Amino acid sequence: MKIQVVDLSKRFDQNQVLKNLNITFTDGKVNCVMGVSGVGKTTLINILMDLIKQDTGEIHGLKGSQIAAVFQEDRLIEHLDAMKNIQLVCDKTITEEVIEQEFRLVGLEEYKNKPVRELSGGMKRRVTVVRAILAKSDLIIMDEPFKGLDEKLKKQVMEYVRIRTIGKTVIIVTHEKDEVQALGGELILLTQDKKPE
Amino acid sequence: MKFRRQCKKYGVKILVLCFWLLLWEILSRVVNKEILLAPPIAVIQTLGRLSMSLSFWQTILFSSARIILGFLLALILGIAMAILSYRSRIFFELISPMMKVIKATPVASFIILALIWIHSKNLSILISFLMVLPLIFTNILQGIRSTDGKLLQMAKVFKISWNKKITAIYVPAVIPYFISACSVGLGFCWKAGIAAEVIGLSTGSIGWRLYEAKLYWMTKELFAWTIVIIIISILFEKLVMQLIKLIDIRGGDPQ
Repeated sequence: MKIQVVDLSKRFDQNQVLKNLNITFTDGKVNCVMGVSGVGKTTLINILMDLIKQDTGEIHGLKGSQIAAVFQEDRLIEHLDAMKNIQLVCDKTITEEVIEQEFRLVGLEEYKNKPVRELSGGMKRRVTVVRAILAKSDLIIMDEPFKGLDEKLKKQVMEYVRIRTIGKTVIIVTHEKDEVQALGGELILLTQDKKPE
Repeated sequence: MKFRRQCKKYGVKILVLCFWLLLWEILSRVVNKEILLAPPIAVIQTLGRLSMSLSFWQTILFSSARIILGFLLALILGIAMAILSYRSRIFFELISPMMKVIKATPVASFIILALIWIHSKNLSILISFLMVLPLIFTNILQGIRSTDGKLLQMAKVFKISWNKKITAIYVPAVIPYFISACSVGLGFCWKAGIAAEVIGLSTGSIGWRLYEAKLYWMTKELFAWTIVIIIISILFEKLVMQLIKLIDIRGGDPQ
């Protein structure tokens, strides 16, 4: 699934966030979008997820596709436990055993039945990563998925994401170059003039 | 520890009840006229005597069935109208002034007006319905509008089915507003329903028995029937709250 962003522009009041942006995301690869704060990374993925509309420009290759996401905020249902949060977005083929197995890989096995509101920030982040991986999707979008994880956990979760996304089209927003390397991703650099290098 | 806490809690409640009963007893002795203020023991005896007759229970059933029916109709229609108002701005604009009028109109005006349209026997259904409807509508709509937009966006991206979205996202957001509406609405519907029965002289109702007691200066009966209304109102509120708790627990489960 090849996704093409053509001449995309978005303005919030007086602030031109994206201007005539052109990007092609490689099919079946991890595409890492990098850039300084305020350059429009989150705006770009919000447009891709159809959460906001662009002012001008087109996106090709996304119509009718199923997206799974890790949002900048966790967006978990706080009163439900980690297991139920995952089940909410998955179909019946993803059994409790499958989810447990994934939790084990990111060090969450002991917390699967705890309400999410009782989990730490790092634990919540891992739940959101597992949720995006297990949900049925054609495209996975992750906005800073390793935020709030310590170095050891970050390595563990990055390795988990790398293995689980082999052959899938993934767009990851990140600030760290080492994450791009660890994930074997292709770098797309957004700059202030809104043109990728 | 828990047992001791429970004993303390109920002990305090019993002491408070004893205080008010004692005050009532003292006042009735000061007044010293049963027709003006019946003493608590006499009222309880009257209540016991009344409860021995079949007509007592028939009267309770008559009023309860109608007031509860009015409440349930308001609940169903209020929720449906709130959902429609959330979905359609036009519907909200259309319905909003009607709700404001119902809220602002004195209950007595409704009762008198309704007496022209319907039989007094069914008056309490309409009145309790009208008293509860705006409350349920306003609170449920407010609850739906308070739902976390970011969770709804998450549901949109993951294409979560509407039934899972309702049980996992909307219901937990609406429940606190629903509890508040039911709690206030239940008190309202009993007060207004009984008032409608008294004004409409609905034969066989609690309101009718109250009117009868007033007409023949049977103060003990008047007090006894008032206690009956309070007890049924509290019991009904407890029952509804238990049912809501059940929905709240089940509402969290997306399966």
